[in-house]
Amino acid sequence: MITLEMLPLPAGTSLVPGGVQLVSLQLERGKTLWVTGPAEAGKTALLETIALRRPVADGAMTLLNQDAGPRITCRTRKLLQQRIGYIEAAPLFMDRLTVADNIALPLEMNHASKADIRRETESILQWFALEDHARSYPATLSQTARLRAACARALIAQPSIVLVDEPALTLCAGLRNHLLSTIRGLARNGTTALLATQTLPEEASLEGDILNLPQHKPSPENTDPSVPEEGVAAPRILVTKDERLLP
Amino acid sequence: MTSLSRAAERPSSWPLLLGLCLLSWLFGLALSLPCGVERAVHHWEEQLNDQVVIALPATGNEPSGQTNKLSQALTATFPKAHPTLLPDRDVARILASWSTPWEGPLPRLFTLSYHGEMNTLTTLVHNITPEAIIVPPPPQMAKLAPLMAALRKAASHVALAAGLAAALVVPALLYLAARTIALANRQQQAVLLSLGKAVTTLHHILARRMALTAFLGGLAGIILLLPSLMLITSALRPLLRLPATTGLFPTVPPQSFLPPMLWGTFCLMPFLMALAGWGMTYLVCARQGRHPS
Repeated sequence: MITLEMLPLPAGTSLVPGGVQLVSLQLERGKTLWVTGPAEAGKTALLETIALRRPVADGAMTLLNQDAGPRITCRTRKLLQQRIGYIEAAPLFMDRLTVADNIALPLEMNHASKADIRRETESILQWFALEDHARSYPATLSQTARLRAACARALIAQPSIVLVDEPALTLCAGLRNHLLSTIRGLARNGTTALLATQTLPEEASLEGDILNLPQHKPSPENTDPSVPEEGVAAPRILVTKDERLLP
Repeated sequence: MTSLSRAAERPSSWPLLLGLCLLSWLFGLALSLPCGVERAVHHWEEQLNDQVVIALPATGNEPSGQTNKLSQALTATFPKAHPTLLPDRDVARILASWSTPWEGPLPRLFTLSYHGEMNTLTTLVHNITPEAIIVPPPPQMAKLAPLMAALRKAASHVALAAGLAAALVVPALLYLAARTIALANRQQQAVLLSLGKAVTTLHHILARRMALTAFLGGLAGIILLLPSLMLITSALRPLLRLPATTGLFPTVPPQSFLPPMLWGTFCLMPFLMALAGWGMTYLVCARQGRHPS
């Protein structure tokens, strides 16, 4: 579903010498991956790369069994982007359209029927408690409401890959719970999700694997990954299951 | 796509509209200038006195045999000069304007438009009537020719300068407007790209709007040009020696001194501006789509 091989990602030089880390991971269909790490660890860069917003200079990336590496074609990029829902930290909207129209945009672009668009939009507006803002313009919304609208827009077309950046998971507990329950529902239908956050939520109901960033190969002088350098976050490799997440 | 059409930002189109209106108006005036100058110069040339006058001594009321002989000789030798024996009434009027009323018998006056050597004419006339006086035309043309040439040259230079200025300023204005539109819609473009949608539909919408604005600006300029030319023509009517105006509009509209091809160019101008605006906006937006930063 999602395969990254030696993908170079930027990271803070205080975390990774040289400022570039090589990330490899493999995520199957229907799985959820929590991407954690301190600021500048490369979480957003990883999400942006998978969302095809950031060019892949080296390494290899496969999304939905399509090559999305450095030689990705424009057509493949567009097709893949239509199947990826990315909830950014600062979502962009079309300011002259109402919230409802913004949320309906992915369906309208896919030439869905008007009845389907109306039904799906009303349903998701209700789910994210945005009915009162349906006719408002994005510029008039609070940050939380904008994130709700961004979640609704990203999920309305039931994407195959969902990417969630930190603010949507940390700004409002209610929004996070709504979002996680929606993602759980989508995951049962085969949606793969990557959720980026600095610290994992405390809820015991969290499911999924954990990827700690930054990742890089340990240097020959410091081969023991369990011993972190002074003042530097310890790089950890991908773990398939974190005990803290088990019920 | 309805929502995309609503989503597109619309920066104020007044600067472009007024700019193109003013430019097309100025361009039209500049192109009309050489035609107007040519027309005026032509009129002045027509009005120049190029008539040679041959005066025969007074012999009585009836034309003498010498007069008839001279008339036949002039017609046979210079048929294009249209030699004319002036009637007594005209002769009296001419003489009255020269001096006090003529008391004696009127002389015979021939007029002809002769541009050849005066010696040839003098020899011919004196062979028939040795006492005839030949009055050559005043040397107006020799004095006016450099002025007219300078006027023609200046008008051509002004038209050329205006044409070049328009060729530079109009694309620059269109580019600025296209860039403004593209920047105003950068967010819309980014949203579409992030959703994996083609942005060409948005580009087409923006380009169509720009074309409409450019067309309206050009059209307004040409519409303004008509009354301006009429006003200028009316003001310069005495100078151009045009017929007097009657009614609300001048009897000689500006069409009379502008060739049809120029009017065709004026009519084409709004369409050309619209086409240039469409292409410019599409290219600028597409370039911004390729390099979003």
